[in-house]
Order: sequence, then structure tokens, then C-alpha cells
Amino acid sequence: MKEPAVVREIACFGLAGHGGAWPTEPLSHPGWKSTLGQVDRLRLPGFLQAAIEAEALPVTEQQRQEAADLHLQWCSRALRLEQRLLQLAAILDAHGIEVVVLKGTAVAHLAYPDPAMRHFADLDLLFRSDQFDQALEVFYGLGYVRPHPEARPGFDRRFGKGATLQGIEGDELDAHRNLVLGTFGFTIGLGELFRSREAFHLGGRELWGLGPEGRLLHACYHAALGDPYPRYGSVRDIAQMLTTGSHDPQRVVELARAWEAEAVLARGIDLCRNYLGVAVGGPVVEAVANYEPSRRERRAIRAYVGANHRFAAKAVASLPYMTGVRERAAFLRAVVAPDPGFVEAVGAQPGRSWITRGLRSMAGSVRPR
Amino acid sequence: VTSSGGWARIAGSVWRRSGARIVVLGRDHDEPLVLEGSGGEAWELLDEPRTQGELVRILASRYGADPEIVEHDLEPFLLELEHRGLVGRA
Repeated sequence: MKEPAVVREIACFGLAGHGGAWPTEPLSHPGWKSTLGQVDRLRLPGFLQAAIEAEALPVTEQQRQEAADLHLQWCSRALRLEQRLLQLAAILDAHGIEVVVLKGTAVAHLAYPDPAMRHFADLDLLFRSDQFDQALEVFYGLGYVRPHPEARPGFDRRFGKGATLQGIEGDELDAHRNLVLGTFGFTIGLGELFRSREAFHLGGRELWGLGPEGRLLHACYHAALGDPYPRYGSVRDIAQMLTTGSHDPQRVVELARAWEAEAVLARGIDLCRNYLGVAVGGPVVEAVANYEPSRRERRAIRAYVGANHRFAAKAVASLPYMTGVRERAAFLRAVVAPDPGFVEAVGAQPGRSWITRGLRSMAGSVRPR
Repeated sequence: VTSSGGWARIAGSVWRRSGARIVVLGRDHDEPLVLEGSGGEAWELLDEPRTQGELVRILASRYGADPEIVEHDLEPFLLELEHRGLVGRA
């Protein structure tokens, strides 16, 4: 584990059934500075603030003030993003574009007792596939730019997870049409995400997040497939929802089966236990306790969190999840021979050669990094 | 503004509690405002529309302060919140 134990304890603060192993004295100056830096990097100031207020973590007065100031900075950042969200929601409404708020903002308001516990650094919005291009056009009209164009025209709407956009004020906006790129993304019931929404209120208006079951599964997709070493906060989201969520356990398991995501759910739970160190339990945990991923699932998960988790590996692992020769052919064409603009944008970055990566991975010749 | 005038939060304002402080941001504004002590309490009291007189009475009671002094401090505070797009006259 990269972070010291106290950072992990901070990430777990307040979870039911997690006692915590806290230091008995305030951390030394270097230890505190290191911890505070990691809390900042991992977006954990809300849990640090809560742990200090509850007197779980002993601190000096100076440390208390520094933690409070960091928390205030992150709260201010969240408020700016929420103001932006309210502006965008009104504009999207005016264009008749349906939107579901994902991840940080929605999870902070729907999964935590106080949104000030759960911080975030960007906005994530989900659109219906048939409105995705229209939503992007709206954002372009507002000055957002897309650093990486889509691989081929229509790729995003048909296969993609979405697009990352940058606003003129430096804000980042992830426009999604799916929860996962490739593999497990092909088996998600995207329509269900809009049918089972849950409302939250922000600035006097109603916004929609995923329903509790979809939200839990999305947290698992994000933590289990997003990074070999996910942020503690991402795993905390899973533990938070498992221990306090309003989900129907049976429905979670049914959805995981229907979306062929049992291996993802099982990995998310395993991360709670063995990465975050939280003894989660309950019917959802029991339902996948002995789940044995198939070879296809193991290969798919490796494509995200294995030694070679670049896009090309995900693309190769995606093929068994796709139905139809034409669909696979179109997908492969975009992966192996994307538009020149895409190659130029991606290839312009040092060490990021799209075509080379794609071909090497296709040939299975990429050695683990 | 008179003691009988009502105040309410404006739709579009967002806020968080940060320890003993409350940070608020109004619609179409970029810079959050940090409220401490009685300022934060006044904001919380405005979770429903209230007259200035009500706010004065409640805050004066909580702090054991002279209502005239509270009113003297409250009025510019509410005007500042109004200027920042956080509250309006109900």
C-alpha cells in the first residue's frame, strides 16, 4: 500500500463496523504534512475534517486549522462545480436533453449524510446515446473543447464511454453515454440507468442521479476497473453504499447478473475488504462471496487493472462482449485505423502512440510495464 | 429594509458546512463567501423565509444580545448576501 495507515483510516472514518486504529498523539510535523498532502491528493478532506471534529484523530491547534482550511478550499471548489452544474442543467433542459448526474456530485448528495464529506474535482454527466452528440454540440457552443476527438465519426455514440471536455475557465466535464469503456460497458442496460433514477435537490431545483442499485454498481465499475490502485475515496463509496445505502440487495444482484457484472461487483467488494480494510457484509456481499470469474471476465478485468491496461488491451478484451461481425469490424476499424485527427491529437503526446499501441496489443506482443 | 420585511434564500445558491464555518455561493457568482458564527446561524435560519424581525429576535435570544445591536449588524449582512445573489426579499 502506498499511503500510510492513517490515511486509510481517514478514508474509512465513520463507516459502520469500522473501529479504526488511530494514533494516540498528534502526528509529527513531517508526518502531518505528508498526511495532509495525501488527503488533499486523494480528495479526503471531508473525512479528515469529520475525524478531527469527532476527536478520533488527535491534532494540534495548528493542524486543526490547516485541516479546516483545506476542507474549506474543497468545499469552495465543490460549490463552483455545483453552480456550473446548475447552469448546465438549465441549458440542457432548454434543449430537451435528459441528463443523469454521475459520481462525485450525485454520490455526495445521495450516498453521504453530509455532502461536505465527499469532495470531487469535476462534473460527470450521463446522456442517452441518441442525445449524446446533441449534448456535445451544446457544450461546444458554451466554449467547451474536446482535447481528444472521437476515434471515428459515430464511435462514441455506438461504442464509447463518453468524452472529456475542458471549459474556458479550466473546469473539466466528463460527458458519458456509458459507465465503462468497452467490455463490461457493452452489457450494461443503458436504458435502465434512466428508468431507475433518484432525485436530489441542489440550489432549489431537482436533479437526477442513478438509482441506488445502479449507483452501487457504478461505484464498483469505477473502483474495480478504473485504476490498478484506485483512490481510497472510490472504494469508500462502495463501502458507504453497502453499509448505509437504500438499495434493494436482490435488485443489485439481479442487475449485476443481467449486466454480466458479477465479477466487477465481487472485485469492488474485495477492494473494500482487502484494499480499504473494511469488513463489509450483508446480502449483496454474501451473494457474490464465492463468485468465480470466468476466463473472459478475468481477461476483461486485467485489461483495466493488469500490467497492460492501455486502451488497446481493453479493445481486444472487448471483442468477446460484442455481438455481430459488423459491430466487431466497425469497432476494430476504429481501434486500428482511427481518424487522422484522433491519431494526431493522441500521438502528439509523448509516449502515446495510438496506432502502435493498438497493433502491438492486437498481436499480443506488449510486455507488462 | 424594515423589521417586517421578509428574506429568503434565492434558488440557485449552494452551500456547505465546513467545521464551524458555512461557505455559500450565489447564482452567477464565482467567489464563495465564508460565514462564521452568527452569520452562519443567520444563513441556516433562512432555510425558510423569515422576516428580519424574526431573525433579530432569534439571534438576540441565542446570543443574549441587545436586539438593537443585532439589527444594526444584521441589516448590512443581509444586504451583502443580497448583493452576492444569495438571498432576496420574500
